[in-house]
Amino acid sequence: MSTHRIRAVVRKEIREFRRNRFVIGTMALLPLIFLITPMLTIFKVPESASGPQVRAAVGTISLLMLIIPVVLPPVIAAYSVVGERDQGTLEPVLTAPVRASELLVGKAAAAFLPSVGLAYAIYVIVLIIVRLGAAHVVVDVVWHLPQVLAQLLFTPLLALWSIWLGIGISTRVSDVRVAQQLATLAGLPLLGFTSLISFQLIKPSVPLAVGLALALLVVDVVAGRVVARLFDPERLITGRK
Amino acid sequence: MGVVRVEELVKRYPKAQVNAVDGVSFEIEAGEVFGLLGPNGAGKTTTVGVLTTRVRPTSGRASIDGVDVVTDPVGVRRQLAVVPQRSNLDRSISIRDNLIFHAAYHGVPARVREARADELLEQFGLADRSDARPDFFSGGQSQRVMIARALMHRPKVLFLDEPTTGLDPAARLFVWDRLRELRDAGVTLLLTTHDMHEAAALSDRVGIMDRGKLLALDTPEALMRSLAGETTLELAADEPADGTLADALAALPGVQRVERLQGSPEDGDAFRVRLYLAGDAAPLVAPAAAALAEQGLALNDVRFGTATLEDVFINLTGRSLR
Repeated sequence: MSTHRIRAVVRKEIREFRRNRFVIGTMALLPLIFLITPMLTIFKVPESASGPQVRAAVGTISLLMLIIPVVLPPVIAAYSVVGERDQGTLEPVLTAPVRASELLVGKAAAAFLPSVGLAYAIYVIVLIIVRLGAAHVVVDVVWHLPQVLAQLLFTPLLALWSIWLGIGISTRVSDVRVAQQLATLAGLPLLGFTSLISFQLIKPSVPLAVGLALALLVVDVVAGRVVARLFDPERLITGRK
Repeated sequence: MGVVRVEELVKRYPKAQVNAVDGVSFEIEAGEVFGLLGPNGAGKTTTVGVLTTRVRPTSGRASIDGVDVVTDPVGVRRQLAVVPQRSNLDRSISIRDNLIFHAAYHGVPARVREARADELLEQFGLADRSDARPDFFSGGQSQRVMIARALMHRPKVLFLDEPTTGLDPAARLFVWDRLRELRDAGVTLLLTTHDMHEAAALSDRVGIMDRGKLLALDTPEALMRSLAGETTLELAADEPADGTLADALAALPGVQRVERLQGSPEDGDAFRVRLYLAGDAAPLVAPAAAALAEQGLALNDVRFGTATLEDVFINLTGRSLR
């Protein structure tokens, strides 16, 4: 694979986002709105709150933090192939000496960077706000090292999984709207996984976080390979199945 | 050896009953302009699709500059560029960026692609609009941008699909001039077109396809000469009572072929026919008028002409709509 060509694909995609700032702007807005109520709840938790009370309040926030990298990328990833095909702009890339793998990695990276960037930015903001204003019992749970590590490790890996789902669906459907809806729906099963950690039904620990992260990494690699197999330029160009 | 080689190429799409391309072979020499003609569904687009690595052949071989389209598609794509009929410019970025990103995909170094983009935009009369996005570009302007984009990586072979369809005469002549310059610079051009005038004006050789097969391949002049009858005589009259008139005209001396055309009853010429002749058409007007008179019909209109590439095309592929 040529890093030059992958960089060219990424740069072009990012240039499009910069030209059309609504894409990223609206991506960031939705999770921020969803965070308002749980954040207000967290600030109402008193110092005397019991363990389950604290876990319930923090769990909602943690869940949202892990949902963000799952729900943000489909907006971009699901558009990446079928949207370009609709616009007619996929064809020039397919007649350039860009390998399918380079194109897919480039598109995945272009969806990955803003999604993970936003997810981390929102997480850091939440960490800071909690540190500054929440009760100590809440701060202790939110700033618990395994919890933070899990968040930092899982965010990019969940985002990548969601991106491969989005791109995979985008290579097979013929309508951008369908691709985005399906990609969002397909990401939902991950909520079960994230809920187990967010509500500490699986007690987070450093070895567990690292182990699960490695498992997710394997899943991401396999997903990337599956998507590469699904990508069929002839079908995309001719529309014949 | 030709820069473009196609040998016994076959393509059958999944679930299709017939081959879209059915045993086609041809070669195109470096610096040649090759016109690929055919009605809709003839197999032109699929043939070009295979040559540009977008369609996988079912069997046979195709190569560009000796590089096989199946075994090294990326190597093939380095040698070629495609200019489609409809704009496929990226509307979210400027036309200059369209050129620059295309060159980046081809691995042209940053400094070179910047300079080359400016040079080509100047050459194609687009320098003053280089930062504009192509949203509101006319068909002619978009076509110029797409040709400029295609030249960013200095391709050896340029594929053009209906390069001037929908363009005004000035834009068409501009594009033709640029294409001739490219040919003079040694770029091989393969055009697929329905415009016979364009094919005859630009092409060194023409291939005519239908139903997946290559029916004819030669220079436009040789193809026109090959048609039975080099000169034509077109006659118009009222509708004859029976079908014997066409036979009577076909029996006239020097008539090699008779083709019934669509008449215009409003203009009083419900019967219109074109005679393809071996020699001069003028001496045949009187015998033709006499043949009409025998059936009680007056000669309403007479037109002299020569066989065109369109006549060759119609003769080979027929008049029926697909």
